[in-house]
Amino acid sequence: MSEPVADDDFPGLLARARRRDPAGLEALMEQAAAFSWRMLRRFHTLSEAAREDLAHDVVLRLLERGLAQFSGSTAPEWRAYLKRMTINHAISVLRRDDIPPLWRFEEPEIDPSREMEQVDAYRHLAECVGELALIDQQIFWMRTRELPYGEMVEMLGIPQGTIASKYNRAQQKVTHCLEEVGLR
Amino acid sequence: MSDGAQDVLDRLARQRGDGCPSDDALAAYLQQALPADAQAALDAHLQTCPACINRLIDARELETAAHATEPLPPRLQARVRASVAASLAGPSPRPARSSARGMDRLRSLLRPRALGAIGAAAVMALAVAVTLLLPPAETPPDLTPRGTPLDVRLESLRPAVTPAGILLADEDGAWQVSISAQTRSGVAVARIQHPASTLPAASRAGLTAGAALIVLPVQGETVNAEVQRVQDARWQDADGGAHQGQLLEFSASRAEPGAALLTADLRLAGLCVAFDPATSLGLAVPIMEINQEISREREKNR
Repeated sequence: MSEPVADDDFPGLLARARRRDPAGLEALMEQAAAFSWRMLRRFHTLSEAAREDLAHDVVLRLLERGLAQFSGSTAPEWRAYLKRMTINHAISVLRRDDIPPLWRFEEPEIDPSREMEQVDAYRHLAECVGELALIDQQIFWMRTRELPYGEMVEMLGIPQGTIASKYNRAQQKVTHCLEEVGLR
Repeated sequence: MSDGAQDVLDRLARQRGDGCPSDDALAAYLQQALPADAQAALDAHLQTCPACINRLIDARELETAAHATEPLPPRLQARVRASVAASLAGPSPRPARSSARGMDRLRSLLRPRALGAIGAAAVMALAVAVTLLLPPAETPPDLTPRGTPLDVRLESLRPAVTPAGILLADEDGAWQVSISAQTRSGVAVARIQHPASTLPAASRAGLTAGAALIVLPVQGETVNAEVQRVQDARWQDADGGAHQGQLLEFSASRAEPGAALLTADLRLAGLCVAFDPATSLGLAVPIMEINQEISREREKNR
């Protein structure tokens, strides 16, 4: 597989792919497949074969219309676009096949009759959680999103043991914060 | 943690407030590409904004995924390259679900020697036959194999410009789909013959005019086809037997030779056909779906 493309080189690669330069198009599609393949790891309920099918589907969609429809020009925009396409497709397949997704995808509803009360609770909760160091907050949310420790190590560059102990402390703090707003 | 607490945390993780930074700013923050004062201001914002911390985690995930050096699985890489080659060789390929298991199954069903002799119309007709037996795109096929394996036999293999026939039948021959195909000034006509009284209606509703049908390299050449017309029809065979089925017309054109392995992906039926001119192996993936249709129909008829 071609090497990952530096963000600065992305606009050039995108332009080549749009001109249907064979090497450029292949490199961009391989990058996209690798990206989707990796994003799909978070769907633990998918089999390897299903992950492969989905990543290939994303490439096919890009080749058919997705590349032409991409209106951005930078690498972060392209990644956000691919992520959306990958996750939306994965969710639709999971739903179709009645496979439970790893995480909850819909935002929970706010009860309108208790909206002000809930907004206050959120504000208090955010302030309470905000007393944690920034890195501890990140670790807490990553674990809440069920990111595997291996990925967290890769993303944060911190040893797994340190992450685990920081997470335990953060979880205790958040539990305390939740109790303060009447939740446990 | 209770469901209620989990709900609140989920909400908190997504509830953006005033002054939240843009995605680009977060990406620049991660790369430490912001001026020092902007970096410090974003630090302060993140400290009290769970939604932006979660956006930052999203950005980190994207960065990590984009710069990963983990190699693609070889099979996925081959499929991506084949799709790119097909796209470069002709019209954009149609998205399709595909299944390695189905490919392996069909690889064992189709005989290389027979396929080596098959002409463009015959190969297309095979795809048409499989396509017409599959449910429409709104209900993508479940590719899990069930029921009795389907035996596929190919008959009357002739060059593309002469009539070609293909027989698809189950083991006891109770189900048959035979196809006649011929080309006339670039237009091929395929007659899909089947026992219409028992074929499920849904399986006949796959093709409409304007659909891109197939992109196949046949003997080194790529053939593109587009469905021109689909209509119900009745006809008689050479022995005077009456038949009814569907008359399908598609235009066919030839494109430049592509790479060694090209694929044709049919969105309509979730069908993926790959044809390797080097080995003369043709692979039409969800043929299992035919099997399912047959099994379901047999169950109903019992």
